[in-house]
Amino acid sequence: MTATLLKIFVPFGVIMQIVPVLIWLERKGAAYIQDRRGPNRASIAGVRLGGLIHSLADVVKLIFKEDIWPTQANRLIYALAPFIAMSVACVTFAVIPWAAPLNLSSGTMSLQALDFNTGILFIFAIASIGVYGIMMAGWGSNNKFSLLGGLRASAQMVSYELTLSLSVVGVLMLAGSVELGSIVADQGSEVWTWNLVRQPLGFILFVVAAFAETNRTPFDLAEAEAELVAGYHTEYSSLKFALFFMAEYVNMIIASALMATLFLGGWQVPFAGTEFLRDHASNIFYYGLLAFGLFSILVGGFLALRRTKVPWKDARRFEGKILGIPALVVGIGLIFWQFTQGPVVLGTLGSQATAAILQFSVFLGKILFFCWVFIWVRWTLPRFRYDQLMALGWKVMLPLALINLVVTAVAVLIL
Amino acid sequence: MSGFDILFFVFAGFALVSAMGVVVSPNPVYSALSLVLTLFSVAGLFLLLQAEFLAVVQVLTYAGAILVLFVFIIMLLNLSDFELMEVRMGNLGKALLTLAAVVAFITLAFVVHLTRITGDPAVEGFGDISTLGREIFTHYVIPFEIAGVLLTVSLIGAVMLAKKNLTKE
Amino acid sequence: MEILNNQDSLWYFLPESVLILTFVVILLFDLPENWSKNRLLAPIVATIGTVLFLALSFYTQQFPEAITFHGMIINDAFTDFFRLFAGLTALITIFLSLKSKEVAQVRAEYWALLVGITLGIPMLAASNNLLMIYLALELISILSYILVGYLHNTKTSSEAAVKYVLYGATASGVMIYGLSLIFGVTGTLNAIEIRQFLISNPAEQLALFIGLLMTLAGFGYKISMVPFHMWAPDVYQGAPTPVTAFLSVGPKAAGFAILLRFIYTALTQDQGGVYVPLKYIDISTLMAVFALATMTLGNFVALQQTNIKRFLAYSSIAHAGYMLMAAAALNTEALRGVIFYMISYLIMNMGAFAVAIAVINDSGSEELSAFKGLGNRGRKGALAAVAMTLFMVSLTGLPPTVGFVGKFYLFSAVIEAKIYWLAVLGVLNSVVSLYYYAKIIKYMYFEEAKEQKPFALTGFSFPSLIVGLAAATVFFGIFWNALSYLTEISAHLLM
Repeated sequence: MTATLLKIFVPFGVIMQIVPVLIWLERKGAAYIQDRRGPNRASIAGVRLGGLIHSLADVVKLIFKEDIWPTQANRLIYALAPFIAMSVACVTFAVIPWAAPLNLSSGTMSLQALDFNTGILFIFAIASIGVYGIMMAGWGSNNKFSLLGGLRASAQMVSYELTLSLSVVGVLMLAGSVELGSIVADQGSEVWTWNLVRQPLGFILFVVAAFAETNRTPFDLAEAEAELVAGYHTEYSSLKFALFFMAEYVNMIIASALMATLFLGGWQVPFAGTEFLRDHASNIFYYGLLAFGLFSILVGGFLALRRTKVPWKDARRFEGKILGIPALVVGIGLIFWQFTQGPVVLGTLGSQATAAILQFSVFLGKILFFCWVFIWVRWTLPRFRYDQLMALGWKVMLPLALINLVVTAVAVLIL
Repeated sequence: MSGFDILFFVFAGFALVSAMGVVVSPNPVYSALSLVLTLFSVAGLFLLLQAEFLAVVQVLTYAGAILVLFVFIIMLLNLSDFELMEVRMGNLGKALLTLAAVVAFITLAFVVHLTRITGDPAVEGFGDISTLGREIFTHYVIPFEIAGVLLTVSLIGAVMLAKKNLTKE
Repeated sequence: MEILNNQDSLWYFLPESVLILTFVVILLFDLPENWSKNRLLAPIVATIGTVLFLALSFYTQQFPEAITFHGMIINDAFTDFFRLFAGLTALITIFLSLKSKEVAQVRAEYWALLVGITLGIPMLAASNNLLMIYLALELISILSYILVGYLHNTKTSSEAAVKYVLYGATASGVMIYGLSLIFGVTGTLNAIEIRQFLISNPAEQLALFIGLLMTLAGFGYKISMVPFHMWAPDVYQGAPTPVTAFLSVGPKAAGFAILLRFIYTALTQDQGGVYVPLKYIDISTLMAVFALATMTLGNFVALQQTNIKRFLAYSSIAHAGYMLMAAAALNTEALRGVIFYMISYLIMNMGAFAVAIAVINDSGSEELSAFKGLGNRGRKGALAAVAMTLFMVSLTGLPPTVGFVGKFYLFSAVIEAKIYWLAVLGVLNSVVSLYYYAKIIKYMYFEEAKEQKPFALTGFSFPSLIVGLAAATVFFGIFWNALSYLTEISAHLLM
């Protein structure tokens, strides 16, 4: 029971913490792509964290803003829509495996909240419900821009869902299973056996379709600000808007997690299988902490010694010192402790936990990489026109997905 | 009452209430959304029966694709109340039809209640995708293929009906 | 009784596979720009495919009878007959479509869809499994909806298609509920196993009866059995005339085939040519009542029709009533009779529609008054009038036409089954039908035509088809031995 609750809430908490980071990443990324500095003013006791505090300020702003109800809106549907969008986005995480299954005395325990027999289909099923949030928002607002946004979103998502599902079938055939756990295990830890290498076309199709499914640029026609004000969430404000806003990022994280799981080996650490990690857990733990200490010292030292030229007359001026000195202290302490203590010998459980944490971190890294790709693409590519979007989906991607499917099927049959 | 029973009654209750909603809502959008809820509840019932694949596919195809198109069309047409009024019938007709439906429902419920359902115990691996796939491609291969022909044909027919110009220039 | 696995069954499935292939080939042929301009290409491919289908059915007909695809499909003489029937109907319809002005400019999909329905007919006739029954029925139904609405720039065609879809969706919904009740009670989808279950568990089950009634609603809808006939007149009127001709023969025959196969296989027990209904379901009386209602309503409403297609619609409802008597009589004679009747109905109804298409082409009107004075409008007019007279006589069931022999066989089967009241009322019904069939004859010979110009029936092939069908009506009316032999070998159900 406790384990299940942990498996539900730890990933959920992690995801929820990634969302503000992503918002920050998006703003900073946009800024650097457009050759400007991006957010860098808001601070707490002088700590700005490179603009990360802006996300916090945003949360406060969204909570305290006035909640506006359009008079002509259909109140029930208008109010339900953001909740559907957000909860649907969150449920999907249940079936994503976060690390290799643990071997406990009571049997193996898979590190996913819901060890579901129909894993990937569950994700598609739930994700396909997400469009209702957008459609209901569009219709319930009783605003023509919202309605157009909702209509566009529904047509787009239904069209691209086909490609999304079909591009994965190749992976499913290679793994011989629809469980995400087996798909990850099937890919192994060698990079050249990952599905990215075995299914390059499938990967490209999946990424493009995932962009369309998450309504991100270049497929964000549902909220095309140049044409539709803000599309389906034109009439939303305050926390209801915040829910849509967060749902978009949560969807991005899910899509990234799926890309990583299906094509980049999920939690697999490159060139280091689970057994290898568990056998060398003690060393990894030891050198990992050492490396962390070293890193902490370097970064802390850099921050603490950096001369600041900012003209502000407040705590922000001392940010380098405020962050750097504790980091320095922690780093020195860690290294000192490690040297005096020597390598610890971890038990079976400890070594498994270390391996799991490492795999979890690698998985998170892969997720963040794909999130960055999302942001990168958004600030690089212009938006599609609606007819181009449909032509691409039906006339290019769907046939390609079918070809990929047939070729993979033949290959699986022969090999 | 076990947790299973409670879940069963929750899902069954939702299914019934939302199915009623499909019929009685004055607004077609409400009807369509109620239908989504019905399908979800039925998917929940499937889950209770360990038919995971069926549940997921029900949500994926019906709620996630077919009803999205329903809602899409309803929103696209955006029928005004006036246009909806036209198809309504008089109170007497309504009353008679409701009565007929209630009688039919009670009869069917009575009949089903009296029936001794002959069922075999679920086979090994029931609800599993691989078992299902094996069945489809062995015992049920011909219905499966005919269903494929049927869907292709209907697709072509739908495109044909939707096209403006059917005759050659 | 041998149940074959999938690989061995494939040989039995050859004819149908050819149809599926033809369907795909027609669609692909229409893709290249310069090929799609040739409007004869698609019908020619469809004809070749259908002929190949017929040829292969003769080939597979030599195989020993077998239950194929793990008990899904039955390949017996009955199935072989319906392959033949579907192929012939399709060929005539392709020909009529080429000659009719209404569908003169259709795209290749029209022919592909016709081939699709042709595939559905033997599939439905051969189904031994409730699932297969449903799928084949839907295949035919959905294609019919599309073909009915094909001319969607005309209002009647669209209206007909919408009505057809709404009725059809309701009927198939009711039917699948009924099938689920049957499955729930018996625990099997296989018709043969349903019979075995009913024999070994003879206790009364109300749900089974209700399920059966609901299933009958689905079948009855397909064959326009009263009270599920309401769609027929509007649909027949609105659809393009060649499609109407096809619907009134092909899918209807398929509906009868599965109705008879289901009733004979699942609900009765073969006792030397007499099929005894299983204990508590008096299917015989039930179907007798339905048959009587269907023929009576069809005949009496047909009296007042002024549109030729509605007229033929009610006439076809009446004929459905006659054929339903076979489901009441429940003996081998009834099976033979209904098979004979279907052939005769194919000839005379297709003939009547062929003349109707010629008249509609000529006058542009679907009113019965367009037939006025047809007999006095030149040689071609006289020819069409004579042919139509023969078809009308045959539809009434008077000698010396094939319709008479068909009715004779059916009524004798009913008398054999000792349902005398049905036989008497059926004959009385035929007398009623004489009135309205004779009305057309009267119009053609004893009324003045609006315009006296010669009847426009150009070319060689179309008149020869009409003459051929008319000749067949008379020929088989006098020398019915050949047909009788065919029915004798076809009236065998593997169960």
